[in-house]
Amino acid sequence: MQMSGINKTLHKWLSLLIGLQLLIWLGTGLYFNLMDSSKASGNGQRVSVVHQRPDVVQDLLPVSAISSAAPMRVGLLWLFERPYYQFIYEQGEHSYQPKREQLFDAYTGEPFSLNRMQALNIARRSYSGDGEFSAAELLEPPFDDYVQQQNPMWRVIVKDEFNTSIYLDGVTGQVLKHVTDDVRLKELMLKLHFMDYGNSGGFNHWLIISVAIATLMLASTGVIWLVQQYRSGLLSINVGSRPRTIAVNLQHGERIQVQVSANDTLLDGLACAQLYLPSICGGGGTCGKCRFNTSQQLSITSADRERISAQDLRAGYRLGCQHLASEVQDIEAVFTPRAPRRR
Amino acid sequence: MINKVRKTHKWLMAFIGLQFLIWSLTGLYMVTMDIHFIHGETLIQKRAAAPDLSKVDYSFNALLSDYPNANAVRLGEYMGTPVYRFVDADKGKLVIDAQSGERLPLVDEQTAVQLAQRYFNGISTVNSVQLISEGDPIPSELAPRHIPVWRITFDGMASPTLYISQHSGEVVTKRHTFWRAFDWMWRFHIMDYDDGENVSNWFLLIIGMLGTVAALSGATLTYHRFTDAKKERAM
Ligand code: FES
Repeated sequence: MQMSGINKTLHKWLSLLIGLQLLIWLGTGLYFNLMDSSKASGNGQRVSVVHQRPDVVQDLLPVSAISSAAPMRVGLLWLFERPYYQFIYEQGEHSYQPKREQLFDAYTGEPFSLNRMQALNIARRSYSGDGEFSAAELLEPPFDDYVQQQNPMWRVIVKDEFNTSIYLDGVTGQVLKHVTDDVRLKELMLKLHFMDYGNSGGFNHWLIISVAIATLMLASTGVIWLVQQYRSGLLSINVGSRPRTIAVNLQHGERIQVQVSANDTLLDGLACAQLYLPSICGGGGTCGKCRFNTSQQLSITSADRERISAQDLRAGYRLGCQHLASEVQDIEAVFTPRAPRRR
Repeated sequence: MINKVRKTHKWLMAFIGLQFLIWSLTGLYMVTMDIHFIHGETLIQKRAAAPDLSKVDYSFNALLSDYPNANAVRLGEYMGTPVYRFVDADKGKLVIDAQSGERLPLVDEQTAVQLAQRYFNGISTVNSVQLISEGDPIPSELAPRHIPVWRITFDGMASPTLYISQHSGEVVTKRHTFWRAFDWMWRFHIMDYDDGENVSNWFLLIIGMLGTVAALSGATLTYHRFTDAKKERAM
């Protein structure tokens, strides 16, 4: 098989293999283009939580008095008007990456963990709507609502029209996310776009890489196909050209004159005049059924060369779907053109 | 019928097929390059030095009475000394020596280079040092809220660049050629060629919709091709 034939075959098989994902990419891509990003952020009902601090702050223990392993960093934060030291032992670039930290009461030096009531209280203060709150739960990863998160989080479910779930940092109680149905839809679209069917939380995995390679091949074979079409003169528009008449000699000896548009291929032009050359591929240059014969010296397109033997080419056979009607004046139909096939 | 579909596919792709090639090229780049590498995480040595808590003579207590409006206080390390970094409601970003309680001066050029060499993961010589402060042109890869910063570029084919805050001495952001390339891939992927911030642009919408029609017509052709070939063999 020749190069152009391999190209077409590849294009077809690749489209079969990855066509569905390509459509998913286009559909989800359009979704991202059209989505209401303020809704998809989930912050419609979110307000920032300000932890008040008392007017006078005195007698904080020195950090060296806290019995703990050596931290990388120490923060100071306020919860319910009380100061806490945040000892951070390990932390990634992003907050969702695994981290190790512990709070200590800055007055007593005791290790401190939020309880359910406190987590619920913070969640309530971060929410401006009027939904009904469930109890707060401290959950371990993984999370369906926040796939990347690798640390424990508090979750509070709110019964409202958006199905809001509020997520807080498992240690500090910091509000991380309000997840609504809009957010879930967006996450689903992202998952589809990133082909993250294994819940890796990212887009650097072997499945998408292999499909991306196949897609690049699908696109390149398509471009090559277009270039071939262009070379064969099948990608040109003759603006304002008048319809022309060609003579068609049918097999049983009858000779008829047919009006065709110069921009159509011979296959299409004849079809407009109710003369149907046989075709399975519908003009793709792959089935080789749409042969005709002419005594004119026509160029040989790549598809002609593939589907017609050298001998027949010399004898004047060509494919009707690979030549423009404007190229010919007088042809012989090889098969008796059939009546329209109705499907 | 199938003829119309074929023509649609051919002519639509003749106009927008190139964008499909661009989508697949840029997409392939983005999925094959590890995002953590792209974001320069490998440019930085993992472990920041830990502050020596026994050297903290100026306590949180003292800090809060001197700066009652201090927000987001963090005790960390700077050139071997424990320091507090925080935002003061009136005075802005501050760095205080946790031994003496003195405010640290702005990071000078020599210190900036030293810091950069300490943070940088790898052995390379500093190629250029530039101070970007208020009023200077800000490169698009740097968020304006970070200035004043030292921009320190190392030798190397990816021209790794660290931006070090003149206030805190911390790396505020970093770049290398692969990240810069990634940003361009993104812009071409979403067809927003200036800053790459607007996925909701008209151009993408129009090409995306035409692209969907073109792909659907292609899918029809594939379906036709594979079902008809079967029929043909059966005949
Ligand atoms: S119609 Fe199939 S090759 Fe021409």
